[in-house]
Amino acid sequence: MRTMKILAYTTTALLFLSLFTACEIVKNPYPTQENVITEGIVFDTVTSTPNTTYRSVLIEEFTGHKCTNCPDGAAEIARIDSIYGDTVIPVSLHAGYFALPDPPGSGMYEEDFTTDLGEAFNTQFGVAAYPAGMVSRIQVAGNYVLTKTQWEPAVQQIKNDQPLVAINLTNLYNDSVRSLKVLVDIEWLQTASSSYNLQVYLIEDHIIAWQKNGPVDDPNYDHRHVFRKDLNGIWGTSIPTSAQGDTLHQEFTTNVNAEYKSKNCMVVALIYDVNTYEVIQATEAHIMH
Amino acid sequence: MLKKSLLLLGFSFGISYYSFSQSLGETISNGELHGNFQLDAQYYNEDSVIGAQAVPEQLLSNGFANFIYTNKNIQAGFRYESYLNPMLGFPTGYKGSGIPYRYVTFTNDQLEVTAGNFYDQFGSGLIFRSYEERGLGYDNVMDGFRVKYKPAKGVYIKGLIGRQRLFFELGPGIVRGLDGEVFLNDILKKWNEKATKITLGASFVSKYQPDQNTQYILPENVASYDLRSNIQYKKVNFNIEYAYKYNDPSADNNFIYKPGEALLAQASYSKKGLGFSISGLRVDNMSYRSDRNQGLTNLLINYIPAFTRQHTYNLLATLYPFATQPLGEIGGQAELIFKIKKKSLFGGKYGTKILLNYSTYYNIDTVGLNDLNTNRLGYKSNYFSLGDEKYWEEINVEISKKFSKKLKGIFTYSNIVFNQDILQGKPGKPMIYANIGVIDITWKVAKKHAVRTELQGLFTHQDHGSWATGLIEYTYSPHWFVAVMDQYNYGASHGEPKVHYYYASFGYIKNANRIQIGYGRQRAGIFCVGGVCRNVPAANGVTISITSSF
Repeated sequence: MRTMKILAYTTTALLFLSLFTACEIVKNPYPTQENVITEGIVFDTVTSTPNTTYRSVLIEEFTGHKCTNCPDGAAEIARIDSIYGDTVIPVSLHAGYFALPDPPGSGMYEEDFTTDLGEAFNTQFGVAAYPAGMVSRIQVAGNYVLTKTQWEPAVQQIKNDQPLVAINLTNLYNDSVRSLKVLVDIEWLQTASSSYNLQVYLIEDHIIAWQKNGPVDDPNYDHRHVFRKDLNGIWGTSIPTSAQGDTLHQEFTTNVNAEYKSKNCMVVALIYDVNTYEVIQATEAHIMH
Repeated sequence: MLKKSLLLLGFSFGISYYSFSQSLGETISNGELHGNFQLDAQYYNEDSVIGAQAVPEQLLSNGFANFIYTNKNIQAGFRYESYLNPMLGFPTGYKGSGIPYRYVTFTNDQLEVTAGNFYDQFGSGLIFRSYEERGLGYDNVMDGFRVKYKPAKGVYIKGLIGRQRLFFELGPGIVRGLDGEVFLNDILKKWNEKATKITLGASFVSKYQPDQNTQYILPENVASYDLRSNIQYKKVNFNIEYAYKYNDPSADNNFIYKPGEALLAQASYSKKGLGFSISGLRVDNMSYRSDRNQGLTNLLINYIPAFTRQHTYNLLATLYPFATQPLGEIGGQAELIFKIKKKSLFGGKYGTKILLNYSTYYNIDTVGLNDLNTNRLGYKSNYFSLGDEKYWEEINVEISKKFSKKLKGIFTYSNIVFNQDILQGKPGKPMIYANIGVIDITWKVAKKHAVRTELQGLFTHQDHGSWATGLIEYTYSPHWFVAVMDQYNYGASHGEPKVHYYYASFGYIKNANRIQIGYGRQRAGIFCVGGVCRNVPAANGVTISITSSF
């Protein structure tokens, strides 16, 4: 009897232990580097609109193709974009439950728009309902994640701020080998005292695919500004804090997936304060004319 | 009719509410409330001779108040802390006030549940120890849940989950742990009466912190385990513990992926008038924090014990104390305590107590792998050989002797070898070789009146040179005490001034209340508790300390 009891306890303890098996062993500490051809090819060159005089506002929208209300969010972004033009840079992050793809062969919702970055942001910023969005990751009443009616007031709140920094993008792209070289030039317009990271995104506009729109399953929905991949890690790379007038040049390379429509692809570069996540400047440019 | 029913309902509700509140009131008043309070404050003067700064606030203070309520099987408590602003030498992160500690514990038969904050330790703490050491400004209290279950006599299982305190906030990592211990003599019937007593224990700890680093792929979950046993046979006790930590790249270890290990063994023998103990420890890459980017004493999950003698005399305790090196150390100590019998040649009328202690620490023997661009394992270490760099050595003798009913003394001698580069983080500084002597005499002048004097000398050619300390303390029991002290750096050279650090204090004690006021200079130094240290800057000014409990 006593032995049985001990056995029962041991089993329970082992069961508990299995809950704690959480441990990861990393054999190769370095992320694998992409092999990108950049020598001996001719590039198409596109540059971004200079933003030395204004602060661009980044809207990162959390959405999903099976989210029935998300088209309303997309419509609100399109409306804001039409009013504020170059000042606003929209990016759609497909993340969370509604973004999960259906298995191949389902005939609907098979495209997987989710990304590690989207999921990481979804978790980090605690997105609970969709559509939702962050406006340059500023906090409104303590929240990063804002509902669609809060987006425009947030844009207005910061769009007239004096920019701390200007970002200039030059995209060099060869469509036949699909290699992209991104040159980022940063100029500090004021002396900044916090710590900052640079993030570089590749996004694709106008992807035609399934979307739940209210009760309707729409196979030809126009997905806008879809985040595809990051060029320098989920949280970007740190850049040295600088004094007014300092400049910094950085280069990133990547291969553009053959399934992406090159003409619709854009690079978004942004700088955020690592202590508050606030995006202090952003810019975008197409990868080809 | 309806009206009548409603009235009746309301009336009965009123009664039941009344009886509920009455019984609640009674229940609460059956419990007991205890607490304590501590306030330390200092007024700072500038003193360019010793490099002491004045502070813009002029006065800085650290205050604590604990309240603990106990009622049958429930205990609840909280601690209010206030650092306005933190006293010099304490982490500035504490600035402000708040309630960083609050908890409720209830016990139900064999189960004990704590919600909120708790302190705990698995084994020696090699993979988990959550504790508070106020003098160090150290508090890594957990905030979460802990469950302790005793399924049978001699067995317990403990599980916990939470985040650790970082000043007035919580660290980003989640710490999860499981610990169990079995006392074999209780659970095995045929062992019940055996003279050999065996306890076996095992623990498992895992921490989670998201990987936001782009340079490396970091493990988000880092686990560690610990196995231990304690064997006691009559007057002999032996205890061995092994801990292993999986890859844990951090700012401490320069983001290498090598696993960590620690092995600890202790043996002791004691009988009346004689005690002997020997302990050894090998530590390799065992810094373990719930935030891989933190430093100093912030968010440490584990604790590495220090096997050196803990001193209290100020020249011995705060000039060159040993500090544990979680990244790698191998060392240990041996201690012999014996009493020479009364009325013998050396024992005298009252007997003589002698303590001999030896401790030493070295680096571990490692070979670099030169793989920082590939696997980043960093180095290989040879398990049982010492490295070639000595960190610490001490030979310590202490003789306690009572000469007469009125006169007793403690005589201490220490020889210390101290590696400033490693233990104090001062690269390029020479090894310190110091001889230290202390004579501590207490003279009971009359009933209730006692005078205690300390004469200390530290002799060295390195660092700031030699020191002498004299102290006279007069106690008028049970309420008053007054003391004056001077530490004199008479051996200062290389253009450094020979400074007197004078300090005077007096205090009043009544029941559970104690107040102490002091004035003078405090020497810059290192304050350590159990090998965990904090640098103390030089200061000049008035200090006040009040403690009370109820």
